[in-house]
Amino acid sequence: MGITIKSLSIVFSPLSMVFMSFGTLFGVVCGALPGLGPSMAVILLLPFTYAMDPIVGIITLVAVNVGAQAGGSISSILLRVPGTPSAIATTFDGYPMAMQGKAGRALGLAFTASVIGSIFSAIAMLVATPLLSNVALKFQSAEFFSLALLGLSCISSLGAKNQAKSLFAACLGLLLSTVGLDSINGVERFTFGQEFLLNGIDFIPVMIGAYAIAEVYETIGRSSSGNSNESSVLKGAKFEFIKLKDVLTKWKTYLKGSIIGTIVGIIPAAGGSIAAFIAYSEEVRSSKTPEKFGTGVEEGIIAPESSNNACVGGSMVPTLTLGIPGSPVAAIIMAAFMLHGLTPGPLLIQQQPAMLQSIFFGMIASSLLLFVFGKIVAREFTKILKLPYPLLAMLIMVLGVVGAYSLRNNLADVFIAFAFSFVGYFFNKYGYSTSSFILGLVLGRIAENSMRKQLIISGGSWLGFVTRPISLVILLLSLAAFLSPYYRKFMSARKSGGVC
Amino acid sequence: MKRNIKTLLILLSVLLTITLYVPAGGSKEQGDKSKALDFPKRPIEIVVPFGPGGSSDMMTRQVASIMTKIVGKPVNVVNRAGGGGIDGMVYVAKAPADGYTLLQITPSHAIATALGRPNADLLKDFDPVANFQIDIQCFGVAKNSKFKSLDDILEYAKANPGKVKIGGTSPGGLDEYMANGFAKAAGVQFLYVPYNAAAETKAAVLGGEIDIYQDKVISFLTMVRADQIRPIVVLNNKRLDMIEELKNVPCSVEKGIQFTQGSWRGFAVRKGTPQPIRDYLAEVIKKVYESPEYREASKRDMSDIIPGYIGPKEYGEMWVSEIAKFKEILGKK
Repeated sequence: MGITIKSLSIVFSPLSMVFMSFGTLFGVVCGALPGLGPSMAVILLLPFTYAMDPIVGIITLVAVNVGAQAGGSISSILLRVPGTPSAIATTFDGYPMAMQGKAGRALGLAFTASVIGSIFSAIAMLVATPLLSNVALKFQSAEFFSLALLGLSCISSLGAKNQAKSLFAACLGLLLSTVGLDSINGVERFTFGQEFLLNGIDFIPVMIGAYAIAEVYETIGRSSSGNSNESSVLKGAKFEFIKLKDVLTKWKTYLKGSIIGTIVGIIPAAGGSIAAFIAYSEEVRSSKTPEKFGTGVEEGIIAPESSNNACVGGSMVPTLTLGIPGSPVAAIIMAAFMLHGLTPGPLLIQQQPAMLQSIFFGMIASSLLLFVFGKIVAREFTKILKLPYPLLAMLIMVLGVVGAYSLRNNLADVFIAFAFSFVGYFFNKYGYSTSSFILGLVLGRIAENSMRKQLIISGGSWLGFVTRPISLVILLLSLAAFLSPYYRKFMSARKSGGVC
Repeated sequence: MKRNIKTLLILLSVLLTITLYVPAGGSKEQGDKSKALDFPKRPIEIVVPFGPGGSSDMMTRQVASIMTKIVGKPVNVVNRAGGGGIDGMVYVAKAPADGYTLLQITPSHAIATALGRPNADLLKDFDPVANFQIDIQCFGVAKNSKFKSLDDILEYAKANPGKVKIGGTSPGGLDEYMANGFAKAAGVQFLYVPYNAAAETKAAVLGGEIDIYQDKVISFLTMVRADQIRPIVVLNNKRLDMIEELKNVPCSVEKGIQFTQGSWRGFAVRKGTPQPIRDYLAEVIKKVYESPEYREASKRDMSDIIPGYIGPKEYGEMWVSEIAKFKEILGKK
């Protein structure tokens, strides 16, 4: 009890509230700007925490992470430019919703889901840290591979219109993910002696090109005659608070997204983008109308946004108990612990008993602040939709170029973005699924790497994937997810009676 | 008549331009002579060829913030991650040799040179400035591992060649070199499993997927203090007596294994940077190293366990010997 009061007094002291509010706001803005992700946001604020009390410093950085994970949805929804890697899945349904004139509602859903995800994971972190830390160790190479496969399994749902084309796009993505230095032997693959290909084709510039820039081409092509639906887009652009009743009717989606995010967060080195993909594909799998996803379904925003924020709390679990960062951002926060002379691990809980609870209260406070800052930042960002399309298109291009360049400060990535803008444009035009393509590219590397590691460890035997219980369960789930659209089609065809 | 005036005007302007250039050129030459005083005139950029948040990045950000105060101009840190440190290396190799662009380097760059990776040659394209931190590699096993000591592992490894699994990051990089180099010196064979990130390696050893965990002493100590890892050997020629937790851990040389290797983090500039500027930068780095601010910070995060500053001349010699070593073990693959 004494510890609780102490942590409350630390978190709710005026000074730490100021730092936390600033941290959350800074995070939301960085998240919303493509090219400044959660990692960069935390790094930029890190030097300012040197002089702070360690606990205040850490909760400020956690607040930045909470803000950035949520802020990424803003540009995903409004511009189809994912603000952070973990907001990729949000573009699938967020942007179509905005196009239907429901941008404000989409933003409201995204922030509500983010708040619920953060709070859920904070509670999970507080209650179950000692228990959950062992979960982190259950996930080894075999399980990583199965998880990647689960993420990939939603390609059959993403391409509801034409399965063959969706599969083709996914395979192309998988193929592209093999470019660069291979991660097991360090062999150069498909680099053609070009040094910029050594590190492979990163998915961020590809995504910016294939989604954002391709969309610009398409809109210009479609509406060269004039502004088609802009007035309706604008009407609904006001940030909408989601009613509690609304939340309750979709409680399953919020809860599932939060649970998936927390678990993926706990798994070392797996971050918000993977969590968002898995939550999205699970939502599609369990939906009664999977074919509607991708056209602006509310669940398609809730699932990824609740899970990428739930990752924040989840990733703190192994960081605090084992000294193993649960996500790339948690790795930076761990470095912050070290700079304050603290050693993450079981001793930390003994040395700084107030730390765990302070992080818990800090996360709750910054999550609630998200509503306020989300509204403010989103309001400012929605103003850009008032621009006439030629100007808006310019802005999207500029943000896209900056986002691609700032990834590694490399001009080659900008060219990659433009190259894939044509791929995205023609994919859209001829009904190939860009999302399947990106999914293949993002998850291909994880799948290949973990599969080959497992094979090295097992001496070449494939049995490891099915003899490890968690891996087997995930594999079966992905099989179910992959086959469910076919099964549904089959069932409905039988019901309508034409098939023998 | 009109035409004449025009030609006159042109002639005059050309003449004026030339006269304007003469003193400018003169002052430039003067500037060359007093360069040590004249540098830096604008912000300095330090390129970290790795992502934000790693030990190289954290060190460079500390250095930059103290360096700013010493040189009186902003010192900016730029991350150019990619290709295992090569992207940033290539970038600095193409920057002007004026001392305004520094490259933060690690053994990865010496390894890239040893392996002959395209466009990356530490010796041909760079001049040493100074080394800043030195780390020593340690091996350990999980607390609940069936192996209790180095002898246990070596005995098992001799009976079962290629069965003892050791993890590390970056294929063909420093970790693989240390795993293979140690095994070779000990007369055994390990199975090396490369992971994407240090976090994955840690989870893999605690989850029992691999047997040996290797890491640099600072990160290693974190795991030992967290009571997760039992240290078994330090790759050094003497025990690390100054660290309480590692006092009773044997070093490789005392076990008769002639293999020592650590990691180092320092700075380089492009080849051809004038000597006075290089001397000045080395001096500044030394001042940063000795500054009370850095002393205090490095004490807190334990990066001062092994004295790290090495001056330009010795640093250059170190590059040559390191690259030769890497060539011997990694080049034969």
